[in-house]
Amino acid sequence: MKKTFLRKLLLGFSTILLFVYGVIFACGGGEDWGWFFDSNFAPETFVDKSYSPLFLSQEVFYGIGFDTEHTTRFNDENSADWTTFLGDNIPAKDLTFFLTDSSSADVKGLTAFFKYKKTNKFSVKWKNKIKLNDSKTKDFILFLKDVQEVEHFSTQKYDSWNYDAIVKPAVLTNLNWIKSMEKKYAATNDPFLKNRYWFLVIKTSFYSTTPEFGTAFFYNTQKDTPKNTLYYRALAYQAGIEYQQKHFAKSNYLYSQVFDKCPSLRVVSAYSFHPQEEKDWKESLNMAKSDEEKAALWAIQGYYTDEEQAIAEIYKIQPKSEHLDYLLTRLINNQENKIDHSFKQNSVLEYKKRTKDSISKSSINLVLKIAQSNQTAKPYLWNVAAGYLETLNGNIKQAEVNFDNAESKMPQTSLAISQVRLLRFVNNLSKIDQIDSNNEKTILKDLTWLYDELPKLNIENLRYENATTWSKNYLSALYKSQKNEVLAELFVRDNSFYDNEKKLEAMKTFLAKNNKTAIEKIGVSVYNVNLVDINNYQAVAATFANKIPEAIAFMQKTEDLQNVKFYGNPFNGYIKDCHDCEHAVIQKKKYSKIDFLNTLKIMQDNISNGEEVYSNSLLLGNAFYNITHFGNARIFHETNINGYGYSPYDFRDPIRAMVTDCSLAKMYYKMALEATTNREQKAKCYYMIAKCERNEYYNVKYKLITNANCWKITDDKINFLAWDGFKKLKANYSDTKYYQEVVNECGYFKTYISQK
Amino acid sequence: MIAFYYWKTIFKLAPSEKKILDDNQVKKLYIRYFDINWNAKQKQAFPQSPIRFAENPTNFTIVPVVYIKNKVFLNKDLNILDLAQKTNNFIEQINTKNQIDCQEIQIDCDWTLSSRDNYLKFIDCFKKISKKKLSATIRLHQIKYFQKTKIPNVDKGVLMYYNMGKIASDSLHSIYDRTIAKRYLTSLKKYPLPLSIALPIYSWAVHIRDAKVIGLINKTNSLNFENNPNFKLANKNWIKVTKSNYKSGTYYKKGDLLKLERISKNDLLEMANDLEDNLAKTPIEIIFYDLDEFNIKNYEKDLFEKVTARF
Repeated sequence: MKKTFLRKLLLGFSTILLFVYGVIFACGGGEDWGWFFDSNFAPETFVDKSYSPLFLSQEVFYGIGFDTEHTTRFNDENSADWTTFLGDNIPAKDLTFFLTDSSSADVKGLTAFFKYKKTNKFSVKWKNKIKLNDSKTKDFILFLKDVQEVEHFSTQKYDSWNYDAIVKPAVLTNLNWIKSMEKKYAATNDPFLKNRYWFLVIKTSFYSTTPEFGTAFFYNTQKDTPKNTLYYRALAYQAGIEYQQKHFAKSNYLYSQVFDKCPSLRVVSAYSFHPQEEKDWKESLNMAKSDEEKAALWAIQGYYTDEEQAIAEIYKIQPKSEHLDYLLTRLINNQENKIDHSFKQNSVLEYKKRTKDSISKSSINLVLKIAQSNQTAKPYLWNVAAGYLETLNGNIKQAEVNFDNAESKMPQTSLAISQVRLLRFVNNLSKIDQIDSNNEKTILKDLTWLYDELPKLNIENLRYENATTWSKNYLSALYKSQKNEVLAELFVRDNSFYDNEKKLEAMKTFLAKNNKTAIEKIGVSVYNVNLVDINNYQAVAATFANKIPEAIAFMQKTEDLQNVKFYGNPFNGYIKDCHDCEHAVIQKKKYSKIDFLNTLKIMQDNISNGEEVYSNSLLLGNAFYNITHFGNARIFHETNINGYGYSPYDFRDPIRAMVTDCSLAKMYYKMALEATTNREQKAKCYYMIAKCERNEYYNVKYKLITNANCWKITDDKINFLAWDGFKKLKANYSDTKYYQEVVNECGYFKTYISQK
Repeated sequence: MIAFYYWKTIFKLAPSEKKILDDNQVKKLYIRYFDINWNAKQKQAFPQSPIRFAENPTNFTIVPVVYIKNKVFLNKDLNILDLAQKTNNFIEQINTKNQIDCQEIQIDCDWTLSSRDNYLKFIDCFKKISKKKLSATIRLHQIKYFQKTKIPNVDKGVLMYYNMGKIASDSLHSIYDRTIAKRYLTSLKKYPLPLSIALPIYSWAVHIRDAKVIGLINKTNSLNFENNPNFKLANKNWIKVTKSNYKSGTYYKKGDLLKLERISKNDLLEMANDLEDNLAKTPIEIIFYDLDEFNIKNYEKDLFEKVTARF
């Protein structure tokens, strides 16, 4: 694996600190995508993009995880700068090649061409593409030649399995070469090139054994140097050197300057800022020469520590500071993070009280004060934040005033408009403690917007998932407390709802009625169970209860679902249970669910009439066996309401009990046994009964399994017992053909008969 | 026999560390050489934080220890043979560079049921490639459930008698908890591998904010916070932050709590007694985790011998 070695990282932060915190985050198991689901407040709405990685995140940096742009961060800016300098001397594509691709051979060749004024293969290659005769092109190439010398040290690639390369990275040792760069700086008149050589002297020194040379040069020349990105890149190098020398106060002070003035280095400076002791921090503050510099220190410090204090301090001295914006979003997202979003069995009043209690009063007071003052650069951001905090704090009316203020002044981007609408909706719904036909009208439009329209609109960065879940929980809790079980179920599905016959019937009546109110219609639109599902659920339950005419009647009301075909033949019974093998067997007739039930009915009628009792009973045994978990027709019991699963433990308790119960199959196998006319038939019945007994044994043995105590499954090494069916088969039917088939196919039986 | 783990990234013995090694006639050091982590983007395993030697560990038998993160073995894309070769080669590079000769290598990995098969294969490959004696760290649950977790094909195991609980904001101790230990002790007799025992002498503080763990402060104890007006000792093991401040590179916010976890002399003696009562054989050696001047200054110099003598 190749890795890029970056000296400034070694200088800039403590790997140990990150390691420890990294472990904790990893244990938390959180990812940012998960966090969006707990938040209503998108920091992107009003805050400048350069702060984005610093938004509150469970990862090291929001949106990007780690900063990985160490060698690419300035590519675009560099290209743009050189394009301005070179004009049309070098086309954009070729400029990109020279600046960011493997161009060192070309640069070397062209340097030789300029030096010896002799045509070579590189001058031939480039003469028609770039203006080789222009002095600016020459300046560019010669400069690039020098830059590429230092790139060998600044962007080293090494094999991570090469110990030497890791413990002893190459460092530039030739001070004379650095001095030659200084001479070029002094000799260059063009301000653009001069600035580039200025930076090159400092960068080269940084990657050398004599970084102090660059530091001295920086402080001697900084006064005459434009305060552009290159200046702040150079300043960041100085901050790194100070850190290495354990001058933490100075290092942090310099990083705060970089953070303040150079948006593209905000991530780097925030990552590297790292006071050791309180006195370092105080000294850094004392170094600040102006309120602006002081605000910058608080701004970068607030990222790591206490955004509330940072906001208060910055607001006192620089209320228009842009840094306040990102700190405010961290404060809000942090408050949201403290809220327990689950409703459990709580009423909305209990939920609201818990929310109110969990958010910080001092944070609310600070934000309200600043919002009221109207002194910040983006008062609408403060109004939105204040409104949201008022909602959480239970001051619904005041929240409305804040949202009104924000809306009148804010930029009308679709994110901003949607953000405020979302928070207004949260506020509006929070007003309702008892839902009735009057107040439900106030939320209808927004509910449709939230559940139906927003998912299709894809408004970038808008965090609406939390409001979706929260509002459903909220409405469900309201309806539950008002004893409206059906509406409560529509907004939050309760898996055991249909286990209750009364509730089931109430839901059927509700779903069938035509005159639903607007909110009922919304409830139905977000509910993923319909009448077909319920009829199907009832058909399955009736089948397992052996009420086949009833099952047929329900199944007939399942529209297309009744025509779903089984994968295997549900009337076949095999020695081995292997539902994939049985699905693969060629089948002349494919049974649908309704065909299956109708056939059951015919077979049961035949038995009542005394016709072919053995065959009909055996086939019924197979059929009832196959629709359990152990058979080839699981598709029959897997429904929207029962659930789906590879394992019986994927189903809730009553459903698991139903689908693992083979007693109905056993009953028919026993009935078949009674009607047998020869020993082959008897042998078969005893074996089929043994399969049912085996399944009963597994059901009891693994009854206690849950994911939590999978370690505790008794490993008694008992895979099978001498079931009654086995005993009978062994004792009385060893001369049958079927017996031999069982010996050949069933290892358990074979082991059993070989035991003495 | 007494041995120590050396778990820092630069090998340089402080005078007090040298003294404790001399006083206890320690002949063997288990030195963490490097970790192996997984790069999800490149889908490759890579060595992390390799050790650098600022001095030569002469006079000691050195056992390189490689800590492999469990997530490495959870990957389906893992080329096990390649990893075993690279690991062995990297150890050899470190040995050659620092003129170290080793006869044994230790693999440290908290493998789980899902990573078990890859881990066991790795051990098999690594044993063939390295042609050295192998040892592996064994966690308590791997002792009790060895039929499920299986036993790596190594010459000996080292029972890690620490890291028993979760690092959490509750009142429980994550380094050592006798109640938890007791659940596993009786299984020791049945464990088929010969065992050494690793005992903890480290301490740390769990940093808690709003009832959530936000970090671990390594190598710290209550003395570090005494007489500091920004901290208040709430009770025996708990410290409350009374004023926000920076200290040793960590920011403590007013209201934060620190749960101090340390291992006392009595804890160590109790561990030794409990283990002695339950082990089938006398352990091959007792390895203390980890050699560090901060850790050893908390104990009387003859304690290591006293603990070892219990076995």
